[in-house]
Amino acid sequence: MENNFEDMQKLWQAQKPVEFDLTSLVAGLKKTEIKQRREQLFMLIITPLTIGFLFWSMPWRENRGIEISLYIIAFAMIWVLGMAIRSKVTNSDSSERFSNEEYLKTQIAKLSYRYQIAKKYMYGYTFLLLLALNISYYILLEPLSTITRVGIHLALTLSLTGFMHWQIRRKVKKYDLELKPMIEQMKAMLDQKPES
Amino acid sequence: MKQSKEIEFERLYKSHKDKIFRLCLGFIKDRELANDLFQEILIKLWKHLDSFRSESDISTWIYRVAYNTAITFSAKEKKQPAKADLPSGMDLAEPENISQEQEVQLQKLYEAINSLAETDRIIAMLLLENTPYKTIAEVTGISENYVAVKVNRIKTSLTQMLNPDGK
Repeated sequence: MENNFEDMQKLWQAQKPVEFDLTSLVAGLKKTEIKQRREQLFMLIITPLTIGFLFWSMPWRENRGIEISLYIIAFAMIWVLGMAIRSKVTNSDSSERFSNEEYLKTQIAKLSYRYQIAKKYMYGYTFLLLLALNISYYILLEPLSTITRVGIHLALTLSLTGFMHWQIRRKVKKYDLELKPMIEQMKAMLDQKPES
Repeated sequence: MKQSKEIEFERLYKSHKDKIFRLCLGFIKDRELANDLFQEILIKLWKHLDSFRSESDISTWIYRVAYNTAITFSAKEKKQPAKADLPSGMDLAEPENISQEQEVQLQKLYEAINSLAETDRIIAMLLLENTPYKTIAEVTGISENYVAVKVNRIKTSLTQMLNPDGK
């Protein structure tokens, strides 16, 4: 077989996918769309629900300190949710005016931001959680002796710090394996692009 | 009764499925992963069809969505993609209508395409689909003149790779 370009085109275009029922395909796509919407909705309502539950279950009206600690937790959760949404939501897939270069830049920025959330901002989140919990514990443990209170504060701080640090390290390790190669590959693709 | 979105989707699916399918295979040789990529592209096309405003040609939009999805998909490699609840048996076809000799040639063609740089790969695949330079330029984000320059190099490169003895 001669390998001129027309032959290659014929060979290439001879590949066909299996024909299948379009009605089932559309039904499947609709189902997927509903599922994705449900997941997004769940992500959006879980934070307000948790905050609502905390305010409902804690005696925040009786003590200013507990009220402050709940505000800190609410702020930390909303802050993290905001960052998570920002790192996921993009209109780059839908826009017909979005060039490939812009798409790559947006994807790189989005993935790098996700990386940054795990590496940097989650420690900020941990600090806020520790602050809020220690304020609450300071008030709730008031009847106990000083040594017991200090011990509990220390144990709480150390165990939560250790747990969060372990979780963050795990996440960063996962991102090192998944996101880093993606970012690098996309950066390499951007570098390949000439000025148009 | 079918909604206008469904009718529009069916129309574009019928006219573009082969091209999208081949583009998937060009990016991911593994048929199972290519199937996942095909599904991911269909989900995106369905999801964003309402936002298509006819400012550009529908083919350009489809290729752009397909190419951008393929880039991120191939970059994340075996990471689990968004799965659609699509009907079973929707496997991408083994090219039954292709002879064994053609299959060998096809493998060589895939190898040749895969050895190209990322932008050249998509240009090569779009060229194999007889896509106009203007569309290729719009999809890849490079100028039409530069596409023309690249096309000659790609054609020569592919021909040489598939026919190293120059017979």
